[in-house]
Amino acid sequence: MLFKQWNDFSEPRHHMDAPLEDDEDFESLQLATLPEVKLEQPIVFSKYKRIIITTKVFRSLFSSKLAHANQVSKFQIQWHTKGKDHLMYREDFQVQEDNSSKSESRLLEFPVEQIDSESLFVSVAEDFLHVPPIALNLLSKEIAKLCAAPLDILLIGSSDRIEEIKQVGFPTTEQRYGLPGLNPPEFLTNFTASIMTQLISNKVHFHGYVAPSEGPSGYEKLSMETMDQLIDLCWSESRGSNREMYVKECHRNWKLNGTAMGAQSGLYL
Amino acid sequence: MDSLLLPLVSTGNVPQLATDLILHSLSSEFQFVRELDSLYLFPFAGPLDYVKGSETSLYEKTGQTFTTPLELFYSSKSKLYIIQQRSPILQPFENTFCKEVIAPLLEELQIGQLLVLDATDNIDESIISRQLRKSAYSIGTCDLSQITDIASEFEEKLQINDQTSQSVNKTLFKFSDTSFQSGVCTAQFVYKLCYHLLHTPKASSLLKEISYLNTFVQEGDNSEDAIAACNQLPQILSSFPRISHYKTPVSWEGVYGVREAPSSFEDGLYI
Repeated sequence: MLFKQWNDFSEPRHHMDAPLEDDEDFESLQLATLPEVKLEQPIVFSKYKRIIITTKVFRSLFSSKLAHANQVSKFQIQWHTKGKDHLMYREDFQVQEDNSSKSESRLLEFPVEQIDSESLFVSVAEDFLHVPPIALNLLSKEIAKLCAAPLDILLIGSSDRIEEIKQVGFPTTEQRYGLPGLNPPEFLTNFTASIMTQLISNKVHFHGYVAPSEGPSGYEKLSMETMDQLIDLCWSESRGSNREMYVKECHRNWKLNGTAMGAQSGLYL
Repeated sequence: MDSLLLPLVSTGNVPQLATDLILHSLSSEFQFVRELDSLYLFPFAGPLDYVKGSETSLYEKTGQTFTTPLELFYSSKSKLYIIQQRSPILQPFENTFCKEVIAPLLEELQIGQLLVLDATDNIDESIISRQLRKSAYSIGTCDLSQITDIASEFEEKLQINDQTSQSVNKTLFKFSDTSFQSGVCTAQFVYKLCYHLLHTPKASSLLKEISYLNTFVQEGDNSEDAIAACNQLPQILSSFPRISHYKTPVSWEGVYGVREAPSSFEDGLYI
């Protein structure tokens, strides 16, 4: 049951909308326009055996492979805003920037990359300030369509509603990684939940894990313990050669992009 | 014909909690049917909910591993479908949700009676009932079987009084004498739902009645409100199964804290 979002302000707890559109016409009976999502060019799936689907925060786990990745195609999401971005978030959200963009049309692109001879990689940059959840839902729907091809699907996501790394999957949550499963009242939201819903609804088999994080969608922070566990889990997935280098690289990337949580990330030492 | 119960995500999540109570208390009667399209809902995925110590599980033999935002359950005994909606509709897609998810579902399931569960903590002055005997519940009925020519009659049914600050409609639902409201505001979800259902020819031809149960609540620990709302349902839906013992699912644990709700008041403090 989804009771409350990460932030704690005094609105009723069933109001969970992203602070994007200041839609004043609550009485409208018209159907709203959906964002447009398309895959730029079709992908020949017979060439690939697996696909890794994740959010931006986990790119660091695959950085060496992504450095030599080849873009196969890309998802484009286009939608229209009312050009009032500077008014579209509240003071009690973590304000990242004072964006006064007057743009009427927004375009987001998420590449589908080939990271080795048989693996595709899609990472979605969530951003609760600038990317509406409907866009992520539509994107998930398109990604799930792609995944109808017989591929081994690995999903890596995050949630601020769990305490430790948990295993997810369909049709079973078998003990593939030796991780526990989710227990009520734990739950997932944002892109991770969206793609899981689409995969489950389409009866697409997948496996993966979700890591505990703090902060709003798109600005998550991971603890050092979680990072070390993720490194252990992804070491076999990344199929690299030097483990020590891999560990250093992951830690460096997370520190540089502000994902690392704890004293070391916020203080000069 | 079958009936469908639709809980709206509203104040205190009372409709969702009531739905949880019904499904888990009658888990041997209700079966999971399938996930519904949740494109217009806030993303959500969670583990399968269950009642501690219960022998029957709502998701038994379904092959499910996770719950999704919108799920359909059915009781053949009561001829009742229930939707559990676990996350809110994304703004501004309420109309799209009604038109593209609910209306086609009603057509597909051949629903004759729709029961909408709602909750509020703020009622517009213009629709407050002037009756003296008011309860915490509003029970409204929209009798579609009386409408023979939909095209001309629903224009009349949906007529709006624009004199007040909010547009209100007092003809769509006939509210019971003890209801705390006498109409609905056009900004309310239930108004949009009715509008779109009445504008979908096949759904409106099948549908005989739309019942509306609105509960007046304060946001907090609403578990008791949910039980009280469930107790109102047999009044509206004659086939609604009697629940002698309410069972709460494990997902409720800890949501309102681990302490029991305070029931006594001593020295200015709830203890």
